[in-house]
Amino acid sequence: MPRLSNAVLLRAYGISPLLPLVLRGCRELPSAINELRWLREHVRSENKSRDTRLLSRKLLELCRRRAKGEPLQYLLGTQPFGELEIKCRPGVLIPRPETEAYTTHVAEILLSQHGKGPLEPKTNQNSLESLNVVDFCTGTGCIALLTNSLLSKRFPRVNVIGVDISSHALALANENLAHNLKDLNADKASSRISFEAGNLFSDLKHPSFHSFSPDVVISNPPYISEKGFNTETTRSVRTWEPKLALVPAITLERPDCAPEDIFYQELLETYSTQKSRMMLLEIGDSDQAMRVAKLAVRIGGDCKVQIWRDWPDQEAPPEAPSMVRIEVQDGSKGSLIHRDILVKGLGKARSVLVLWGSYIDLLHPPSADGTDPPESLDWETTWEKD
Amino acid sequence: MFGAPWICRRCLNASLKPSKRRLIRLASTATSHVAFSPALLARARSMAQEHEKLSKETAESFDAKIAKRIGELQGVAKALKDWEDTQSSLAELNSLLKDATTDAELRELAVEDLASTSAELNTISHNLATSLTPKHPFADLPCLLEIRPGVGGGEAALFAADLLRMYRAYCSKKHYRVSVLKYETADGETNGESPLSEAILEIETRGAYGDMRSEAGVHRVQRVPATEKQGRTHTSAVSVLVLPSIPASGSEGQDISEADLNDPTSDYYVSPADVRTDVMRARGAGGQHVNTTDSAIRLTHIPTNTVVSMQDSRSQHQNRAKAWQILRSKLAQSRREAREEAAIKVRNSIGASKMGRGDKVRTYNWGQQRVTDHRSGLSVHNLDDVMDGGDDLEKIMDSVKSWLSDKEIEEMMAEEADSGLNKTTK
Repeated sequence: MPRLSNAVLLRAYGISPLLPLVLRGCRELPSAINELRWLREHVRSENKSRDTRLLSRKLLELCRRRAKGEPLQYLLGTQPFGELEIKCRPGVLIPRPETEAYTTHVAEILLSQHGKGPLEPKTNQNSLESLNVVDFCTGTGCIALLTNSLLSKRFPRVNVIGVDISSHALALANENLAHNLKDLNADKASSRISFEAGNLFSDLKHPSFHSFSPDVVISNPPYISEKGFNTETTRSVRTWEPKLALVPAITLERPDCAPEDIFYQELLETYSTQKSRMMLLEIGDSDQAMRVAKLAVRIGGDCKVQIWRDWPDQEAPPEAPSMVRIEVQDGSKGSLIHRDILVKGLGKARSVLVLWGSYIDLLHPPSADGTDPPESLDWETTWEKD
Repeated sequence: MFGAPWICRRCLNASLKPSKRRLIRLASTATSHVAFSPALLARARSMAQEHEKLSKETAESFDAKIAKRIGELQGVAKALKDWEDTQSSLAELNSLLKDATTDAELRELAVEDLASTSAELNTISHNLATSLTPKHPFADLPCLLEIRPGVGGGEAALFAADLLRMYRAYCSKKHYRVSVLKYETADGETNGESPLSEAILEIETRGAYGDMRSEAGVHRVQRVPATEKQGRTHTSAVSVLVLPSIPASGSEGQDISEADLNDPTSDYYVSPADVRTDVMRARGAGGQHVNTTDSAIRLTHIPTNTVVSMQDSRSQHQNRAKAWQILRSKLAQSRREAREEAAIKVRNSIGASKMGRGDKVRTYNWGQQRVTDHRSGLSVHNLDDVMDGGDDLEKIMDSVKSWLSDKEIEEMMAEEADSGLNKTTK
């Protein structure tokens, strides 16, 4: 972590004497100014008393905690996520803006296709009318809650289940459900949402999970390698956020799979045999995106794969590749097969979308491009702050 | 040689010249509109006829559109009826006076009546003219008030904060619903008062645009700033921009429906394809690796190069919604301004009533405790009350509003005369 320059600290002090403290936690002046303002507003709204000395003491204490790197969301207790406000507590991963972006995008796609093709409501076939969504490693419950809130506006029946191994996370997820109740139309009989404890690696084979067959699987599992945790994560994340949510804690002997990809393999193996139709997996970087895409092609059988960048709803600049080619060994025949994969959005590779069955024609445009796509995703949109 | 002491030539010249006419515009220079052009009267009569016809129609069946039109015409019809009544009574009185057979007592009464009726006629014809001027198309909308410091550095930023406080006090006095959309403080000392680099106030009450639009322009301040150590008076300026606030959905205002927002020919339409969204984000791996609190959004309307950035809320979702609202308002305003300017150029006449950002509209002088509006020419010597958004501020705003409506009437008359002239030449 580079040292903060004296000039920046001095400038910060000139704006407010508390700002250097906040700056130590958040490292950048413009966002430090905003954070200090939010902290101030928080202190004012929390304390009804007009005693300015009490208020400034509380603010100073919060700034000191921020200086030690404690995430702002833990200090304030909440993080906005789409139209919802998600409660945050130490021990549960804080929802990220990228997660918000792809969750919103996938919900928009499903909403825009509602009433067409396979999503057409049929009176005689109840399963098509309702949409079952499962969110693995739900943490605060943010993905499950936002999907439910967005989809239940138009879908007649939406069932969402959030699954997590941590009882701490489940308690918080249930609190968040109660906190956002008015936004969720939860009083409507049509939409249901629940959170359940479960271990992906043992309970998935359990019959109770088989009775709920999801159409859409979304997951933001731990995906950082042990090495990446030590080198790539920021100090605030490393010291304050739960490692359980960041690095896979399971060591299984899987010869064809990196240890950090183990959740993806398990999910793909389970749900490619069931009749789920869409799976969205958050990934860490472009290398992992390629690995997961290969896994999906190898395990997923008859499926189509897309890679989404950070902001999938935005146009990438023309120099960014919109296709990438992967090579996979066909398990049964041992021959190499090529697959061209669509890449969309702006930013860095962030999630992998796998489509099966009727969703393929719906959401996957046919590739008419004659030229051969590149074989790596090395190009990255640089997004510098100005 | 000379009895008088020596006087330098410059002073002598100055004293001998006739004193320059001082450039003062008085509040009482409002024009009276006793005489109407026949074209204008004909228009008023046809509008009144339409009103009568439509009211008969609605007696049988109700239609929301027709009812709205009737509401628009009602003012004209009533003002015209008043005007005609007074005109006829005037004529009657005149004929009474001319008649030689009228006895002395009656004649006395008639003279008294004549004086009061002709005074009444003045206000009534003014009413008629006001009702004939087309209402500003945005007048019914809620508005956005943007305050930005201009020349004057830190002092301008401090005064901008004062102005913001003044407008908030004014709105709370008028029971307007207000929310701060954007509030950015400038760098600088924060002893008590925080200097402002930009603030956008949303006044959600309908009709707020009509009330506040006369506030747009450059507000000048003359005072010894808090930052000044040697007691010199500084002059700085703050610009205030008033934009109509376009509701995002048609549910709030019936005037702007969903169709208006999606109709490419409407002022309110902004094509999403023309807008580039920039999400400011930190470098690094992203995702679970970092935890950023940066929620800033920047929208750029590419054809006009209008930029709106928003970072007030912790929620990117909300920032985006607010930024879109402001962008829509800015574009609607600039489109309307462009159209007005074109119309003025074509007409090549009075103009001046358009309030651009460049015009200095008001001066707040601390030394003399005085606030002067340069458009209506009204001065108020109760600065503290004005800065608290009190009755004196309302007085000034009302004077500007009447000045503005006078301008609009003049413009309309000029336009009417123009079109009448064109008809006769053809």
